[in-house]
Amino acid sequence: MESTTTTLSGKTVPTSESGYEGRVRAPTPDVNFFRLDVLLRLLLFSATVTATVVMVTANQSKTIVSPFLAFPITREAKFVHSPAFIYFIVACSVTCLYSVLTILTSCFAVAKRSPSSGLLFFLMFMDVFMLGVMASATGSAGSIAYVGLKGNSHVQWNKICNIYGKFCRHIGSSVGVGIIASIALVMLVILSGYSLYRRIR
Amino acid sequence: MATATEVKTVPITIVPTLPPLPVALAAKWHHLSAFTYFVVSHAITCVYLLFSLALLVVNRASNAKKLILILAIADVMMMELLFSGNSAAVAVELIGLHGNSHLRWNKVCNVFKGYCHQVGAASMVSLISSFLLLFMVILTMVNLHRECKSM
Repeated sequence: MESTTTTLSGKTVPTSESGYEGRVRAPTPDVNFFRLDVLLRLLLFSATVTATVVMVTANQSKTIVSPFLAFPITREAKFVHSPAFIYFIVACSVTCLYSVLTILTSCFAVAKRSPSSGLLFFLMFMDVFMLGVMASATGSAGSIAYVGLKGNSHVQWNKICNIYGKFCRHIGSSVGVGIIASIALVMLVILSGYSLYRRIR
Repeated sequence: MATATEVKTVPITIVPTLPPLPVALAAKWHHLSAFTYFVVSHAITCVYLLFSLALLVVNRASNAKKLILILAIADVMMMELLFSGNSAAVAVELIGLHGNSHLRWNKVCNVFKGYCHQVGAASMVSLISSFLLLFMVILTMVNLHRECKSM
C-alpha cells in the first residue's frame, strides 16, 4: 500500500517504502523549503537596502545664531562623522549584494524537486558568516546611536538627539531595520539547518 | 570587563585665577551602557554554554539528532549576541580612545589608561571567543552535512 505525504508547498509525494523490515529505515522524502527561503532572502534584501539608504540620507545641519557671535555658525551632523555608521553602511551593502546573489541561487533551486545538500550547506555557511557581520554592524551602530540619544554624564559625552532630531530618527530607524535583517538571517540559518536535518532524520 | 575600574585624581580648573582643585573621578564598567550590554551578553552565553555542555554530556550515549539541531540553532543565536556585544563595546572604546571632534565627545583614555587597557583586553578575548563559537557552529554544520551525504 502506498502512503503519501504532503510537502510544505502543498504537493503530495509518495513515501517510498523499503522492502526490508527493521534493518533499513524508509527514506524520508526531501522537502523543498526554498520558496520560504526566497521570501526570507527578499526580506533580507529589502531590509538591507532600506537600512543603507536611510542611513546615507541621514544628514542635518543646524544654524546657530547668537548675539555673542559675529556671524551665524552652521553645524552639520552626517553619517560619515562616526566610523561605526560607516561600518554599518558597508556591512549592509555587502549583505545586500550577498542577498541578491543568493536570491538568484535559491530561485534556481525552487525549480528542482530536491536540491543538493551541498547547496544547503553552502548557503547555511554563508548565512552564518553574514549573520556575524550584520550582528556586529548593528551592535556598533546601535551603541553609538544610544550614546547619542541618552548622552553619558560619566564621560561627559553630550546627547545630540535633542538638537539633531531628523538625523537621530534616520539613524534609529536604520539600526532597527538592520535588526530585522539580522533576524531574517537567523531564520534563514534555522531553515537551512532544519532542511538538512529532515534529510537525515 | 566587570573588574575594569579605575579611580584617578584629576586636577580640574574651575576659575583660571585659582589653582586647580584635585577631583577624584572614577571610571567603572557600568558607566557605559555598551559595556553593560557586553557583560550581559557574555554572561548569557556563558550560562547557555555550561547548560548545553551538561546536556550533551548527559546525552552522549544516545544519538540525539534533534538535540544537536536545537543546540546548533541556539549556538547561532548566541554567536550573534556575542558578536553584537563585542562590536558595541569596541565602538564605544574607539571613541574613548580617539574622541570624536564632530560630535564633541572627548577622549577618555589619556586619563584612564589602565581602564582602557583592561577594556581593550576584554574585547580582544571576546573576539577570540566569538570566532571560536563561529567555528563551533561551522563544525556542527559540517557534521550535519557529512551525515546527510552518508545517508
